[in-house]
Amino acid sequence: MKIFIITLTSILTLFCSQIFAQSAEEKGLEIIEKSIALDNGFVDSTVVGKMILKDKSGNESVRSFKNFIFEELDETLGDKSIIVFTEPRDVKGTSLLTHANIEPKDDDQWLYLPALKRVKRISSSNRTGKFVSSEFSYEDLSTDEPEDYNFLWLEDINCPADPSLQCHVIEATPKNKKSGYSKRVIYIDVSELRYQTVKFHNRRGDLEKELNFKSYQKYLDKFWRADLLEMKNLQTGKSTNITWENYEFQTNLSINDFNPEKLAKMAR
Amino acid sequence: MYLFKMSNFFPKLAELVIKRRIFFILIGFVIAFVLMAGAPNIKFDTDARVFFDKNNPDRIALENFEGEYSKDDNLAFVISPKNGDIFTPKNLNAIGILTEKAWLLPYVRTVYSLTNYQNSYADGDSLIVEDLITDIENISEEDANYAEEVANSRIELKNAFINSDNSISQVNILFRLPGKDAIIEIPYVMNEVEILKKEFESQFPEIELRMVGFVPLNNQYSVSGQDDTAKLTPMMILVTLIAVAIILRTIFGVGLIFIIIVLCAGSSVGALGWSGTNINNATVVAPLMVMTLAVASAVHILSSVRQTMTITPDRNEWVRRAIVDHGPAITVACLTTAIGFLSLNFSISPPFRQLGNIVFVGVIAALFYTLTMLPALISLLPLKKQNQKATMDKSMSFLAEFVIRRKNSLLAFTAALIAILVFGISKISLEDDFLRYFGPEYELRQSIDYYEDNFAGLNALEYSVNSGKENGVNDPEYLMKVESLVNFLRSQPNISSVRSYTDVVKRLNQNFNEDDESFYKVPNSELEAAQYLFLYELSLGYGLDLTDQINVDKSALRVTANVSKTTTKGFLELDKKVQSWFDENAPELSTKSTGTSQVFSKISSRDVPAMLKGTGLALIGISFIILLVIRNVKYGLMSLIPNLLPAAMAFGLWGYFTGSVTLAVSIVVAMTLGIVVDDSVHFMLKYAKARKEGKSPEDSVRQAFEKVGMALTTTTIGLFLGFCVLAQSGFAVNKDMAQLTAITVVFALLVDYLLLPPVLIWIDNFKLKRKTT
Repeated sequence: MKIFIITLTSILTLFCSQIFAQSAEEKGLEIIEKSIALDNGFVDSTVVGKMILKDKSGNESVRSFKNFIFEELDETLGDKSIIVFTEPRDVKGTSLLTHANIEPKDDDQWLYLPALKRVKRISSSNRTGKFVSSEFSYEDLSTDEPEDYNFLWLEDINCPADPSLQCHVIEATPKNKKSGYSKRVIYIDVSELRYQTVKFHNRRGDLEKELNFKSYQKYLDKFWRADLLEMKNLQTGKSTNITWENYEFQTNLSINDFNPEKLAKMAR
Repeated sequence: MYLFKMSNFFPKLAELVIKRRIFFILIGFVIAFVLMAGAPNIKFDTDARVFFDKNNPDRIALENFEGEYSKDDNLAFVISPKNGDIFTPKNLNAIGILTEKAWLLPYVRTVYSLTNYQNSYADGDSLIVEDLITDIENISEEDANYAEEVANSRIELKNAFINSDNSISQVNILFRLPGKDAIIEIPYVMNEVEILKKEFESQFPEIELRMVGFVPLNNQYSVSGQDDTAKLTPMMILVTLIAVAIILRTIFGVGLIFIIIVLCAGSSVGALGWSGTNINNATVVAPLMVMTLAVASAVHILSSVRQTMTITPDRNEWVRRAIVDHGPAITVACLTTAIGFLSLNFSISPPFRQLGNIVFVGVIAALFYTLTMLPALISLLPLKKQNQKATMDKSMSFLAEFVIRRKNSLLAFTAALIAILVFGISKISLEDDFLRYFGPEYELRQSIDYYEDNFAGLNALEYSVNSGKENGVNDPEYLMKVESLVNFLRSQPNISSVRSYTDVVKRLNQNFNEDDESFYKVPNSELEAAQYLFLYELSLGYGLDLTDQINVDKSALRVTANVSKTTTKGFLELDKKVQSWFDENAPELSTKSTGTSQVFSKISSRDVPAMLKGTGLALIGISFIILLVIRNVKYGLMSLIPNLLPAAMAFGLWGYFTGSVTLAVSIVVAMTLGIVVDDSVHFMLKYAKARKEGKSPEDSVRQAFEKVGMALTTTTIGLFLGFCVLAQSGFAVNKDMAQLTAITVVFALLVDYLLLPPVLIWIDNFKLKRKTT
């Protein structure tokens, strides 16, 4: 009888783990897709961001900017966004327009420098570079496009940043060889499918950075936004916090506002 | 009073040793083993900076500089394709692959190479900042030609990432070592680097790969230290024992000496282990020095036994006589040597302080073992009695006669020789090229020489040029001044390349103006400069930033000038030129140079005055001991001659033949003082004793030669050979120190034999004559 139970359990375990193995990738992808889908329909948004860069010895520097995002409904294109810097003062008005594309096509980017009063198209193949010397790279700031990664659901555990929540743990391995990471481990809470924590592993595979999303708020009864993003570089001791303020949605921005010719006007 | 006590102490000690010989043998071993138990705690330091004290002002300045920018723990792969042309698709592909793989090494902060050079250019209405080689897997002939054209037109690449004839390139890897335990971290990195190197070499057999940089250099510090131990220890033991065997003609004595030196060296190393200090390249020779010095003490006992055994077969009498006759002299010799080494604590360089303390412990241990355990062993073990006088004794009386007969001409001759030699000191220059502390037998040294011969300079002058205000680096006026500093540096013949952000901002200005070359200059307005900088920082590739070029609040720029093939003197003179450039052109920006090369270039000139103080104190202490022992102010003062002259003569000889000397220069006088003093003390003691007994100065000299001549010659040969072995070290500081010491001990014997006796006879006879008239 005992032997029978053991055999049965083993068979069941084996069977279940087989199902597990088959569905781990699918489950990961499904969770990510659901999480992204929840954000559909915000149309456009504006928000004021403040980035505080801290080095190991506590020296701080600040970058402030206004961010305009226009939701692209065409599945083959990414969202459009404008970042207008307001701080530091000597770069006030410097603006970056991005038309996101799906990989492997590079994003289209234009930069407006007020000192020269000129808009320049700039190359953006360096998605892995640091964004304004912070601990964030472009790659970190853009939303995940499911096509760009292989996802793998690992387990469900308590969220590391907030143990009162349950989190799906999903490993995302970039398909693009040029990514700055070998993998990212994403923690998404089970109840609302919000990104809670992302752990970035560098090309060598060592844990390099950790990003925590804090103070989630719900806008328009539907869209969750974290007010605070805390990025910590575990290797250098440097950190960058972004606080988002004054979220506004559906502000009647038009696609024309995201035209390179309009960039100088938007920068004001 | 003191002598009386001493003359009481040693007979008592002799009786005690004979009576309790088993006890002394056992206690000797027990003490040695307890001390030696500390040895397993010892680790090898892997850091060139062990030579800099935490309080060294140059080190503090360097660390502040590194805090502001970055610490250059780097490793550069030097790439030399056998076809002599970097710009072929295949060779560029190899560089690209090496660059990408280098990113996977542990603790990597940044990798700079030709292929990931951030090439900025205008393309119609677009501004592009991208890798020089965008796709390393698909490089066409045109891509290679384009890269060649760009690389040769960028001043920041020429002589930095390609050499003058495009035959050599480099991939420079910067590490961010956690700094928790360099002893583990550096070998860990080097291990993976070696794997990568092998992999690359098998994939690209037509490319030669070499390594230079601070990480391999630091690693070399532990490697060559271990090499020294492995190579020099057996050599030292062998040479010492063979020398002792030849001189004393007793195999058994050799065995005893072996036991004693091993115990002494072991005790000193063990003490280091217990103190919790790591061993480094300079202190690694300490136990070997202890061996040599211990031999000198032990030989006195054995040669006395050797003399006594021709008179009596009574084993206990041999021991008694050895202790009574030689105990005082050995004690004095060990104490003075110990004081000399203890004075190394005045050095500003921690390894020398540690060296001094290790040898101090070893010498005290040697004193203890030679006066207790060694005689106890002799009295217990069947040392074969020999009847023949050792040949050395005969030659000593011959030498004595010669010196007495020729005293006047010897006096004149040695005085002249000394004058000529001492003049050579003026030819000595301090030379601390830390890149070349390691001998040419090491691969790293060969790579460093290859790099400097064919590529660029590795020594660097670093300046942090401060504008005086936050975001001041964007001020056009400031930028132009920095630019003219950079131009000034580039006009210096010894400077192979200069790195500065000014090149970047000039290029961006040109790029933003449709690559119009007339815009290759500092931007007109502060806002423009600030926004170019902002744009550039937005566009940099993976892992690249300007934090190692611009400080955090953007108030200062770093200017790095690589200096090739220069001496310490030339290096410091170059800095002087830069300082006067500041005074004339931009006094408000004036800043001192820093960098590892700079700290090393100053270390000798900082340590010499510090050690002068130490040497002076050692001299006072040692003279005090001599006075106590000789109890005669005249002889005491005269003993200064043979104690101070030898080191001066050795430096002079060095000045004529070698000229440049490393950091070792500062400690040699203090070190040798305590060692050479033994010879003169032994000689003076015997001379003074004979004089007291009423003998003439000539007869007293004869007696001194007869009594201690053999022992002095033997110990000098032993010390000379010992330090010759140490001079085989692959580390220049040890080598210089050992060679200088070896020369000094020989000169000391010459002075004691050829100058001191004529001087003694002359002065004493002069007095006698005056008394009689």
